[in-house]
Amino acid sequence: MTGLLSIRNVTAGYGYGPDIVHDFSLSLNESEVKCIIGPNGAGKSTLLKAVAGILKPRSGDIFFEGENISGKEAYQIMRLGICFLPQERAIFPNLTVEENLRMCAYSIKDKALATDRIEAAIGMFPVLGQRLKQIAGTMSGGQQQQLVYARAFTIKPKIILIDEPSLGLAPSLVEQTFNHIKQIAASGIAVMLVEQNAIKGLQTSGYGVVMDLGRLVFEKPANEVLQDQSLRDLYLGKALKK
Amino acid sequence: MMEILQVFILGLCLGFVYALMVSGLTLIFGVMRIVNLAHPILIISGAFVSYWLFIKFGMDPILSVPAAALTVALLGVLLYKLIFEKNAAQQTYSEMTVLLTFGTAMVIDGLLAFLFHNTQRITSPGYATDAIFIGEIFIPLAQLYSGIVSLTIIVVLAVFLKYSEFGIAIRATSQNRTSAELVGVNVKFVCLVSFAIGCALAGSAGALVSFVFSFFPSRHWEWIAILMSLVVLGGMGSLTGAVIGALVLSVVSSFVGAFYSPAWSTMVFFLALFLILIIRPRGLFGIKAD
Amino acid sequence: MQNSKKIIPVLILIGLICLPIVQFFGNYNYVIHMVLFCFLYITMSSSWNIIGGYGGFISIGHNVFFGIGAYFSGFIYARYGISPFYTAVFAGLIATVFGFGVGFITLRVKGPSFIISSIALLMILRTLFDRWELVGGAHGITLPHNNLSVEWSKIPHYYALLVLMVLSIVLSWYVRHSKFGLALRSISHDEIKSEVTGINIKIIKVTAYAISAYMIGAAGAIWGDYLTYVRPNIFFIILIAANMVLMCILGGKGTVTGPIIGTIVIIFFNEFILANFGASELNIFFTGLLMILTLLYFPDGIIGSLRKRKLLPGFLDWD
Repeated sequence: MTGLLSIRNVTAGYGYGPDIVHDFSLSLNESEVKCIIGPNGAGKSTLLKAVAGILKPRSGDIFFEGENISGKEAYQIMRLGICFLPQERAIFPNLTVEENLRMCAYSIKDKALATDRIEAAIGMFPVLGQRLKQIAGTMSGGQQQQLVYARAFTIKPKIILIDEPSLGLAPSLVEQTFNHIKQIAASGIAVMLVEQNAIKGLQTSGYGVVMDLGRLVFEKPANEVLQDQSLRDLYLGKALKK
Repeated sequence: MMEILQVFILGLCLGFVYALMVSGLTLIFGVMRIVNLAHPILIISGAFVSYWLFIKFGMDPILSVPAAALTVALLGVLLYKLIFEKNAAQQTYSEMTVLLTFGTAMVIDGLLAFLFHNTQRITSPGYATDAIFIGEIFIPLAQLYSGIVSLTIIVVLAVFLKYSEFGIAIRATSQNRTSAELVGVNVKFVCLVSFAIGCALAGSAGALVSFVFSFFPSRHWEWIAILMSLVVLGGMGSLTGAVIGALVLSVVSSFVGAFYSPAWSTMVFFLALFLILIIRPRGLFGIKAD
Repeated sequence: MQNSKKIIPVLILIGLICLPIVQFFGNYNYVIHMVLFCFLYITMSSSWNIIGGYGGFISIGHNVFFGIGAYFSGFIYARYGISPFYTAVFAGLIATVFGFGVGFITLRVKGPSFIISSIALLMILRTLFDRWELVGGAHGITLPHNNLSVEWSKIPHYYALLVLMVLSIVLSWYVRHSKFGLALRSISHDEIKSEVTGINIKIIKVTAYAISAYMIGAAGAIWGDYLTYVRPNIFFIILIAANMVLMCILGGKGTVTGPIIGTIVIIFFNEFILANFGASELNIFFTGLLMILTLLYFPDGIIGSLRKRKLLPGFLDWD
């Protein structure tokens, strides 16, 4: 398996705890959007964290553009071109919106480019442009959400990993969020997302990846997963049968 | 009336010095959640650097600020690498780290006491005994200069944190370490530099304190209580809060000392701490309660 | 196994009760002093363990109770002639009441704020007693010597502190094995989760803090009489609190036998340093160094580390 991102036989867990992800392999190519679904505790978030560098894999390798990144620090992986949006929405609550955006552009060494990117992000999210001097934590949930996704457009990574984008969001915001994800994908960034709302997640993606008990169950084009009744019953609606 | 103004101004000058003393402490706590009980002994180390430069080369203590700052910063980096780096890995506060700083404070205290003995020292540059008169107000130059220099350093620090790239990164790291890492900040490096800056602030405070208070190694216990009270008062990690707390309490303390009894002036800080714990445990500007 | 657990401590206790007999054979005052010094600190560190070890609230100013007890009994002795051996019980009570009051305020906050408040408390009391004319200010209170001869003058204190030590250990054991102790330890792990199980965490925390004060206060009363003077710069110095904490951590905080072992090790270590280096400044240096090394490389303490490696002898395992 080659491609932009190549996860090979990765096993990972937290601290001294047991393995959560077992011998997992997956690849992600340019412009692909893959959605990982599965029951709670399946290890989906753990997998993303291992790719992002928050967790170090216990075994296996992760290749990004041919380079082995497993074991690297999160900030190094980020600078290589993998952006991670974790479950706990990652804004800086006590900085202003403008300072938040500047932090998003922190890794861009070329100052002119950084400014351009920030302008572009504000262009995508005019609401943020109106509140540049406002303390980010005082914005509404939806506005903070925009700030989170503005990061993707500021950084323009090669890959973006999103952990449970719809988690804890009011239904109206869920729609907005998945639109953002579509926009990100449309701009050429490869997306790997983990989503509890399997239907919405699959509708936004090209491929569906089912994960259970830390292992890959199968990977199929998303619309096949959505249309196949037995798959729907098994993984999207009814209980798992062993 | 004049007397009140005088006490107020003196309290304010002292307040800026206390604010400088507490700024490094607050910075370190904000970024790494380390309650550095060794901070005051580092301040005294800075004072000893100035003292030594003064005795040996006749260097004015104010001019020795950079040297004291650098020395203590280097000492701080050494301590960080040897003792704290492992624990600073998690952002969460831990008792163990506090006790580590406590042990470190004792180690440096013992070392300084062994080398220099617990005699009171003070640097006495020419202006230490002079004063100026503004109208009828009498302001000793020592207090005035130390207050002004402290204020300057604090302003430089505030500007650095507010406007510089690295300063914003420091603030971001103290608010959400994971997020900072995910936008490409080398968090370990930021922690190390923050610790160094905090110690540099301690060293510079020490240089200024060297001609305002008499100092000896064991004095740091008293300052631990005062500075820590200020940190809690301001709201664990808020630089603004700590500075404002320092100014307010210092002025109050001056008034208590002038009009009631000098012996009780330091009690003001401790009593204020308990008052805050009763009324508003988060502190005046609390970002995090603990 | 079970039997050795009971027999060895009983044997040790009998040995300690009989130890003063050596005074018939010569002047072993130094030995008696060292042993009762151990009794004192075992009492204090075992008590500290209740709030610091089981409760997880690190108080580095805990010797405020030591001083309060000492001053209470010392004052009564100097004024009214009633010996601290009678008033120690009440000294402990006074300390406990004080502990309730203070604990109510300071235990509202966790972690760093609590530690800081404990230091501030010590400083407040130190400053107060330094200036309080009624109790002699910085000069403190001078107490009369007892009328016993040189060989026997330490013996009453020896037995008083032995009793206090045994009581502290029993108290610590009881807290460890009681429902109260279970609640306390769960609070130390996670307050919120504990609260939702229905425990009144405030009462439990404050009670633990107050209980820990009792023995320390009573010990202070006895110690004041032993030294024959009660002064702020003896009783309210931070080095005493630092030693209490260190002894507990080195031995193994949160265990019953940890403070005992830790105390003995530290006291002998201190004697060693004193014998070889003399200077008191180095005392602080080595105490601090030991604290750092213990925390970095030995965080479970002696008892904890032995237990992890399954090397803990039965008679030391009282948890």
